[in-house]
Amino acid sequence: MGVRYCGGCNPRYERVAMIQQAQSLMGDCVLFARHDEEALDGLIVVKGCPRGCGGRALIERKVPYHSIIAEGDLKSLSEWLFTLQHKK
Amino acid sequence: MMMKRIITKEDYIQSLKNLHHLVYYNGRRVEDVTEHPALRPHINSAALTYELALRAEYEDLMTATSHLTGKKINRFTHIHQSVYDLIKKVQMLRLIAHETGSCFQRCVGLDALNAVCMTAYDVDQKYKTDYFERFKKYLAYVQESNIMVVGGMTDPKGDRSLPPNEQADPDLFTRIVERRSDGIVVRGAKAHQTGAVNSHEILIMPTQAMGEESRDYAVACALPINSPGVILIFGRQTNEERKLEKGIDSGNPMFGLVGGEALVVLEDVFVPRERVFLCGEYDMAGILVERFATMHRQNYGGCKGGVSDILIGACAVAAEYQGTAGASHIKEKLAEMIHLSETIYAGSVACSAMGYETSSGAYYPDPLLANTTKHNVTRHIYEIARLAHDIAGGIVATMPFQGDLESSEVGRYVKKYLSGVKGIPVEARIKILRLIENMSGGTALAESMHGAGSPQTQKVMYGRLGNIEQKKRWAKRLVGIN
Repeated sequence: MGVRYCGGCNPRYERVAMIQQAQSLMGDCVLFARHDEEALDGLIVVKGCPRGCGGRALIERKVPYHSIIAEGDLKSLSEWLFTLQHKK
Repeated sequence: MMMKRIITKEDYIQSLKNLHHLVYYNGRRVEDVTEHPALRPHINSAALTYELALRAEYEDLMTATSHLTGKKINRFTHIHQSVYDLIKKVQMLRLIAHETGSCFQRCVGLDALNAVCMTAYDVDQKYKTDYFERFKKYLAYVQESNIMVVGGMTDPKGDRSLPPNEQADPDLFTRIVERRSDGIVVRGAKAHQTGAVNSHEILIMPTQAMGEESRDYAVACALPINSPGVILIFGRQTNEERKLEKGIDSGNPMFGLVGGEALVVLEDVFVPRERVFLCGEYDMAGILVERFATMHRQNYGGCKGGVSDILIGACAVAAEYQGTAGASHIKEKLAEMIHLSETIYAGSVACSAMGYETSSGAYYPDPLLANTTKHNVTRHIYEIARLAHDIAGGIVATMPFQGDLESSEVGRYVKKYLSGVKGIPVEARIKILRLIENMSGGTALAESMHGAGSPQTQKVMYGRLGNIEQKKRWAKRLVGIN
């Protein structure tokens, strides 16, 4: 699972901590990696605020993706990860 | 000598150890700047410009693609290729300030590179010189090696009522003292040079517009900071001896206070021809100064906005620790601080969004808006600091030493009588108040006033760029005056 961050100029939550929490929730089922790794099953786009600088440019891989923009998005992220894992 | 490519902060620190440049602190030679407690916090701060560029969560702002090579480079070595690049620069400055709470110094060189790039191109167009090609080769070296460059503009200036060539001492403005077939020799000094003691090179520019009689002062060139004849004298800061203690009382032990400025003396320094980008074309000195100033003034809502975020956060924490967080006047003051901080940030984003392409291909922020932004910084940062002192209370100026807190004799009294809300350790309260003290007084304020130019220099730009004649026409037309 690739992780693509916006630049992080003024994020409204701890973006890296959010991904770490997601990793804890998923355990060994999902391996998180840089967005530019070769083989990816999906991409998590981590935007620090609703603007999400970079826009579509952040989603440069032809893989399923899920965007998070707020602290409360951990639930939707984990649901998406479980769904993706289930499909696989 | 070509510098080995710097990738990590460890590479950066090792590269400084290898420089063996001539730095003085309080009258004594500093053999290794990285081991000096008064200099190390500034080095830590600049080192983050390397470290953050390697982190996935910041790479979108901290890195760019070189227009020369197509390679991924540190944004601090980039020539802006679009309005988005200009905006990303401001965003990058804000994010780094969140990590340091202090100046990280590297923007000066970035702005100097961009200003010289644009102007070298224009000088070539007018005088058929080859400065732009020379500059591109130098830029390629800077991008590949990832060195830190300090932009050297401010001359000591002596008697401000006199031009360079009429000064009692001709060296009070940096000048060419010898022209040789293989290069030039320069003499003079550059004052208030942020980050100079931990930079690898200095990119010298003229300090003001020049007349024909001052042609020897119209010089732009790059030289290693350890060149023979370069002497750096570090400037004294408020409370700087606290850095020697490496403890709570310095306020920001890891990253210090503003940038760490130095007087850079240039005692007959030879500069090879290929590193000279302006040499006597006096009529181009003014535009080079204006461009550097504009790009540096563009920054201030970014870095000071980020630093203000830390100060606002510290005040909010202090209010919580002291039991005043619920008071309506405290909430009002925090809201006012946010308003002021976001206003300066808005200015930096606005001048970037209204930027445009120059003949060289490099992008340039709107100069009127950039100057307005910096002018607001000279006022708003003082007001933010005033509000910080108000929220913190008089304790910010009267706290005992860390030594008292830790004393076996009086430590229990400090812990007893400096306690605030139950459950909050006294040490935590002292730490946050010391941070507020560090960020809101003395050198930190003066830097907001004079860094990137004093307020009067921004007012001069209003006169030139303020479009006053058109404003008069609009007013007259509205009421039917011919």
